[in-house]
Amino acid sequence: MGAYIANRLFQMIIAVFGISVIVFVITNMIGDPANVLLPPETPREQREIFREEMGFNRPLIVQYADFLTDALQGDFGNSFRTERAALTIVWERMPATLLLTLAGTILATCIAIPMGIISAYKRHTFWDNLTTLFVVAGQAMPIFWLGLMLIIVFGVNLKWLPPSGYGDFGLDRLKHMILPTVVLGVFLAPVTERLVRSGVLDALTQDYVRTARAKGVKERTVLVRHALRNSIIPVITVLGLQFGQLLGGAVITETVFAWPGVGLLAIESIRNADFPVTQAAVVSLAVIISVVNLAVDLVVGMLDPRIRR
Amino acid sequence: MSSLSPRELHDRIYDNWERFYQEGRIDRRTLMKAAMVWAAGATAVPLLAACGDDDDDDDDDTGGDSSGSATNTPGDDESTTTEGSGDDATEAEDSEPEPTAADGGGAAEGGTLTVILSESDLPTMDPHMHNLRTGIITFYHTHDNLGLRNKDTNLIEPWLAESWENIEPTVWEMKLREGVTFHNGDPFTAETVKWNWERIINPEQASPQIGNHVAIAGVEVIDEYTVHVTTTEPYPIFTERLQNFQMIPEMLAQAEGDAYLAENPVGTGPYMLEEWKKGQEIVLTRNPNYWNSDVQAPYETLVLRIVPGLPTQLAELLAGNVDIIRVVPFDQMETVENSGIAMPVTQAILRVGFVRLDAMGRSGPSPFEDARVRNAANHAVDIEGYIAALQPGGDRAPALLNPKHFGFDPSVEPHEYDPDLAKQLLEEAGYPDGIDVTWLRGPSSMPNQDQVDQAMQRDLEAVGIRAEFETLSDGNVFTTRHNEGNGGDMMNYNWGSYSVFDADGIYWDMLHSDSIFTYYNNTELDALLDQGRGSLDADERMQIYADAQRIVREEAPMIFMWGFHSVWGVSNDVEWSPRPDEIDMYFTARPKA
Repeated sequence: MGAYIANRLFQMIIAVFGISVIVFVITNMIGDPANVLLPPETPREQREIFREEMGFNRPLIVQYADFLTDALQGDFGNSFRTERAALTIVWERMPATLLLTLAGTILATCIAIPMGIISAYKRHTFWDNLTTLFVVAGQAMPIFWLGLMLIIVFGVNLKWLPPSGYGDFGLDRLKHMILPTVVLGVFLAPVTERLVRSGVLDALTQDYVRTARAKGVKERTVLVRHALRNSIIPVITVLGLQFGQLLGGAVITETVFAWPGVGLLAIESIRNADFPVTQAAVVSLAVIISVVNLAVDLVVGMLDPRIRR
Repeated sequence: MSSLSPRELHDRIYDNWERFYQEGRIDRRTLMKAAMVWAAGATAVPLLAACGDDDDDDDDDTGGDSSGSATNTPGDDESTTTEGSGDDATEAEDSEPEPTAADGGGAAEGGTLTVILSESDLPTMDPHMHNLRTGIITFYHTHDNLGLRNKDTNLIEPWLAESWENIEPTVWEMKLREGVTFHNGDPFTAETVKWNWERIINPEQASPQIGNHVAIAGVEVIDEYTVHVTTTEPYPIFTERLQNFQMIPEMLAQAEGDAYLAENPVGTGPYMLEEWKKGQEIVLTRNPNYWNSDVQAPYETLVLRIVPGLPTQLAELLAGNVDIIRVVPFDQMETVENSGIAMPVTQAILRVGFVRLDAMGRSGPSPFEDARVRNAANHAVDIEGYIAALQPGGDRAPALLNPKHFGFDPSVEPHEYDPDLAKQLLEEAGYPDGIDVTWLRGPSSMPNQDQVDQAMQRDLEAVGIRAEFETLSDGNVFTTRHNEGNGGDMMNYNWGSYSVFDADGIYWDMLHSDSIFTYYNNTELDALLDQGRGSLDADERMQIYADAQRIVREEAPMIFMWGFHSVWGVSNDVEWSPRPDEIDMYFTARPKA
């Protein structure tokens, strides 16, 4: 187990390092910070002086080395825009993002597992087709479109729920959470549902299920205790993998619903060419995704000894 | 299109399926499949209806409360809102009392006014350390300025300054209002004015607004409520510097430092900061001790929300959650108008759009170096037609100036739409077969910029000016290309004059040969513009700019377009109108009776 953890940790470090390179190169490609930070009428000479002062004219590799050294100490520099520490700004926004992604994951699981079981158990019936319709629709609908539709229906026409915003702590927050959580849930559920369906289908043909049935075990117990439990491992792995996708989805969801999380912050900072904040946001998300995946792998390893190799 | 509504059409299709089943032409399973598709479709139809706002309107009492629909009587508030079709927007004009107008009626009520300020949050609460319109708007509520623009005359009138006088060509004497205190109790005095100006012109402070104040040389305190402001040269637009320049309490600033100011907007304004929820909203509460008893903000609380994405902003307005949004896209005006919840309000603003022509071959030889070709381009385009079909309104700018600029001469005639004349001019210039040119385009705040460009491109091609688009998605790349002289033959441009309502604010930057923006070089015009900039005599300046306009009209260094109109969305429960300088003053908003 120890070697397995060490191996996974090493892989994680490599992945985060790779992401830091990509983020650094891309942020430097999307625009010259001098153009963004200085008013448009600034003459060329002054731009040059500014680049010199800020160190933007050094070779990219040197700038990256500096960036990495500081980042390893948790220093992503100060926001160009607000002059506050970039990492602090990101972590201020993190609770909102984690709240939303957690709620989205829970909702997706609550949708996907029952649907997957029903769909497998009632294979090729109306119910299976209905869940297939849901899955196809969930996969096919762009996340922002679904978000806007929910806003129009539940926010504007029915006025049941606030169209956007974060709300105040408590019931108000819960009300504001519902629509974005549904969007994330619907976005995430289909893949899990398909996995549960195929896993349960597979399990239902296994000998142990036949044995259980032959013993006279209740059908519900057969399904949950025998079939579902044996098909859940790939589902957990995929939930971990999907966590990354979910954070990606959160970027769009947060933008549509004005949810003040890291995703929205990342979009804002890209728009304002506030590179330190973009870099801190993306690297922070990458670290979280890696940690979640590591945790998932460890859990799966504990559940299924065959995987620890 | 069939005369059936989408839903009826849908039901009819399903009826057919059921008949097929009864006739034995399909089996039960196929029918079930059809039922599923039908069910999905039936859910989608109202969605689409809501989205497209079509005639299948099952939702006409969205007002919710009776007061919403009661206040929506057409003609209720004359010219402030648009009536009839979306593209026939009338303008918001003077139905709103100026802040200075005495109006005790709305004073000291409760309630909350919610406004969507912007798509992204302010970087700071220090009014001197940003260059954003949304910042200006916010700090007009928490702080005060020395002068305030009258939105009818566009002239700057006294506010924290009581009067000013030009005692020498480069010295202005200013008397300040007595008895004004900041939110923290500090007094507003001559020292305050001196400290604020010295802060903003200090290069070490690195204020992004330093450019506005380059002509200010220094401030001298004469007595507690009098200052002398010295300018580097005679400065005709001095009064423009008295607005959008907010006063910070100097004692507090010196004691607490810049980091404190970046979080705490302490001013003398009609509202005080209650909470800044970063990335979400700025909550302001009414200043009960505001010095100007004529401006008692009717709403106890003012919430300035940050909502990225115009569709969500629009949804918030139509859900009745917010009272004012600052941008209504042109194609959504009708939706807002028919909502029964809010109305689009159109206001002419100072910003002017045009297509710059490379009249001096700055980015290489260009056919537009010939004035006949430039005039041909101006005659080839149907400006009135574009305004009527594609804009929420627009004021023609026959020689680049907006009618709102001081110095605008209404006797200068715009180019007429005359394709034959355009062809003739091209032929005279030696291009009987027309010309091929490039047209650089970047992101734009103009409504329907793409559609206007396409219409213009087609009209130009009709006379033989074949323009090929090069479209850049990055505004900074575009600006850099343009400013560094690599714009090519034609470039989209618009100019807000830094909110200076004076011909100098656009002519010098856009056309003087010393400006980094210019693609035109005319020593005669340069001389006039220098003269206009150095003169303090209003009549003389009028004459100078009238002469300049004749030259510009004749020389046509750009395709002249129009001054923009902007569209706000305002709840039917609120009486408020925007201003031509786009500095929204929400303390003038009041609940509708």
